[in-house]
Amino acid sequence: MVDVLKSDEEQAEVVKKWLRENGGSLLTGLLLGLAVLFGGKAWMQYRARQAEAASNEYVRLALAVQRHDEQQATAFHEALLRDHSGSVYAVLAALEMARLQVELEKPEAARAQLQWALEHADTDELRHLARLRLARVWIALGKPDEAAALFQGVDPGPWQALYEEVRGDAALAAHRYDEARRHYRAALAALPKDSPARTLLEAKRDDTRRGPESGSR
Amino acid sequence: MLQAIRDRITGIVAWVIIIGISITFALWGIDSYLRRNVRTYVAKVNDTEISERAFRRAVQQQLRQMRVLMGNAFRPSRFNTPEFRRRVLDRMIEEELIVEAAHDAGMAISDAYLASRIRAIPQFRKDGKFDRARYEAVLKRQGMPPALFEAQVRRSLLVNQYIGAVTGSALATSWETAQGLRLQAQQRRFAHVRIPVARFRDQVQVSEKAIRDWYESHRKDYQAPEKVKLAWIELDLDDIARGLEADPQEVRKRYEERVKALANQEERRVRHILIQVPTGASEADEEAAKKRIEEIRREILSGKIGFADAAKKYSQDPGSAKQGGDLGYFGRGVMDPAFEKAAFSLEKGKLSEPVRSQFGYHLIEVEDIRKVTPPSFEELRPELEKEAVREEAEKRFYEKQDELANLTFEHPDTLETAAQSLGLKIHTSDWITRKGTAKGVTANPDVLEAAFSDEVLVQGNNSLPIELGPNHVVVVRVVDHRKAQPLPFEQVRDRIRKALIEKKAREQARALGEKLLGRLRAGEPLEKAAQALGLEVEQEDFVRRDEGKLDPKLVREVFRMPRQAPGKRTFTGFTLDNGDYEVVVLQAVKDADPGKVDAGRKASFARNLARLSGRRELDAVIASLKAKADIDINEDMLK
Repeated sequence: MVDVLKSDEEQAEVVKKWLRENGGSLLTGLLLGLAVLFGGKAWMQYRARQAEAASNEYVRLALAVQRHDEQQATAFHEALLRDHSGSVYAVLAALEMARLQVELEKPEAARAQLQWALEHADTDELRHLARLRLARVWIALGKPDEAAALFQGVDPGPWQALYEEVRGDAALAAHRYDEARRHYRAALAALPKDSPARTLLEAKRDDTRRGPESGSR
Repeated sequence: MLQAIRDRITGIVAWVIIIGISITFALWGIDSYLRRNVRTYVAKVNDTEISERAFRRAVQQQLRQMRVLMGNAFRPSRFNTPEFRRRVLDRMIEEELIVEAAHDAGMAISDAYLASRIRAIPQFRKDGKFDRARYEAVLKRQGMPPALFEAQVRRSLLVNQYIGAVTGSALATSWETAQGLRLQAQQRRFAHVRIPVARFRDQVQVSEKAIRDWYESHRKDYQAPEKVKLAWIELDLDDIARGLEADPQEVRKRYEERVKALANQEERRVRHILIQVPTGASEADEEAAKKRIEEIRREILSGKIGFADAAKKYSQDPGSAKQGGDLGYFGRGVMDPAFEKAAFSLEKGKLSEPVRSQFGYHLIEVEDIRKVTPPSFEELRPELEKEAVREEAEKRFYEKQDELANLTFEHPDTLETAAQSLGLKIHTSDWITRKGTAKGVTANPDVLEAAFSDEVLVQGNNSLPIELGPNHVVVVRVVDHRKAQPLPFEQVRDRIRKALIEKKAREQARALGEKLLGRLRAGEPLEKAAQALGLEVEQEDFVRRDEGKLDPKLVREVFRMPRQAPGKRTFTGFTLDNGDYEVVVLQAVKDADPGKVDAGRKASFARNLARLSGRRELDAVIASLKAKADIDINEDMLK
């Protein structure tokens, strides 16, 4: 833009000319940039307020679930779905509702909540949580194969012990004892040595043994 | 001006300058890269650093909590280990991970919720209400700006919300509960044959050569452990107190002070009505309780009901409701501060306004006021004498303790100087190992640690003063030392012989058991097979997993045996811990019927299962967050 061979005055002239030609678009660009900056900030603030509002609703819902107050919990849940359906709190609320419905012996309703949670969860952790619980409710509904189908192609990572145990439960519910034992064994192998879940899991594993002799030890 | 510079700087000179300038810019900030090797943080979680200061504070706080929990048994030296500090750090890292995960997921704590939780903290309340001035005063005393405190509370609320979202929504399905109950209360019936190892102990022979061979090949198992003889001097407050007598003048003075303090003190007999507000209750619950207490107050004021009857009817204080709210006489310093203030400012027979204490809302009525009559001198004398002696002994103890520390440090190779100067006796021990003795000074783990430490054992110095308990210290030194050494064959011969006999006897018991199993495998009935081998069958009835009368390993193994179709048997054999061999034939398995379990037990079983499941899910969540995070731990800071 600035030619090395011209004098200062000549260069000033060039700059002025450039500004006359491009000044308008420069200003537009500047304003646009500022608009994005402040708009973005306002948008962030709006998002934060929304998250806080959803958080409040969720706290109320969780308390209602603790009191086993289905009517109130349902009302809070509906409000959350109406105003904040895209929020993580809608997913957490579905998990809470599922727990309440399991306790009230409404497994079908719990299944629907967990299905919704699984479809709308945004983080790996929440997806694992929803998927495992959904599978367990499927087993309780007498459909262990639906449970097993949920796990296809899932990388369990640190959730290995939980996945294997639910797989074992699904196989047991389908009376496939050898398969159940394999999964329970794998679950035990992935479980920390001092886990309080060990006793029951061992009992489950041992209960799947069928045959004339367990061999001498 | 540009022109002027351009005129002068041309050619090579210009390039030198330009290169010089570019290098300056290129290296700008490089020192911060170089300095990165010196890590000033204890750990870095993604982009957040955990500072040494924050970490130290967390360690101290944890130690304080343990001190409260354990009381006198607490020894900082045993707890403040690298492993302990590592656990504290792990917890801080986990907290940071959860905070980040919660933010990423779009979770947030609203100002209103934050405010309601801070308002509920009892330390900030006055007369049953949140008090702004008090809040600021309390924070100021702890040197914490409100903004920082609020940020910290917000952070911990967020962590709790995230954890609660995982564990609070945890469930146990009906199928799982039924399975668990079925297994937990399952019963099994079995017959078994016990082959006692004792039968074979007299029959087996062990040659001298076998014993010798065993000794040669297991030398490291037959060592006399390292031992020391200790000398120590002990300083105990109780010993000092025993030699002291109280000065009668001093006791008189104390009595007069006591009486003066009691003068004008009064005791009040008070009735109250409580409507509880649990800690952490919502604002709505708080309001509801307040409304309720105001209703009760109006009812009493209208004369429709007397205070005592109202207490019987409405009070949620289980201790006093039945007595019409009567709490009896009490003085100051006993009750909740807000409650006390109200009770001691009320006129006799008048009804109070609602009072908010840490328990909830109260109505109070003063039944009677009386002056406290001071106890007589003779009554108080034993107590005051003890107090005076104790205080004098404490004073002397602290002086002597300092002297002990100084003299044993300045004369590190003897206890004599300190013992003479302080008039204390030097005690000595017999030979002791690292395990110490069952009781006494040489049983104390800190003493043993010091005795075998480099400083005391190798360097031959006095130990530092070791606290045995409150106001009780010792300084020890090693007077004699014997290294670990192999035990001579003659000394261990019998031990080895016994062990070999036991081993062989167990093998023979097992061999006989396996013979029996062979017959069972061939289809022979247990009774007949046992008889053929001269063994006896014991028949057990249905037993449960938690059966306490039988050998625990026997029960455990019985419940590990495979199930079989009804009418068919399964069998197994194993060695018990005492060496006896067991052959078990499982005859029947009876699952518990979850339908018959009573509803309360079932519900509590389900709750436990859900809790356990939530705990495991939370562990998995944390492990999964950890696996994804970039965590750098500065191990040097943990040492």
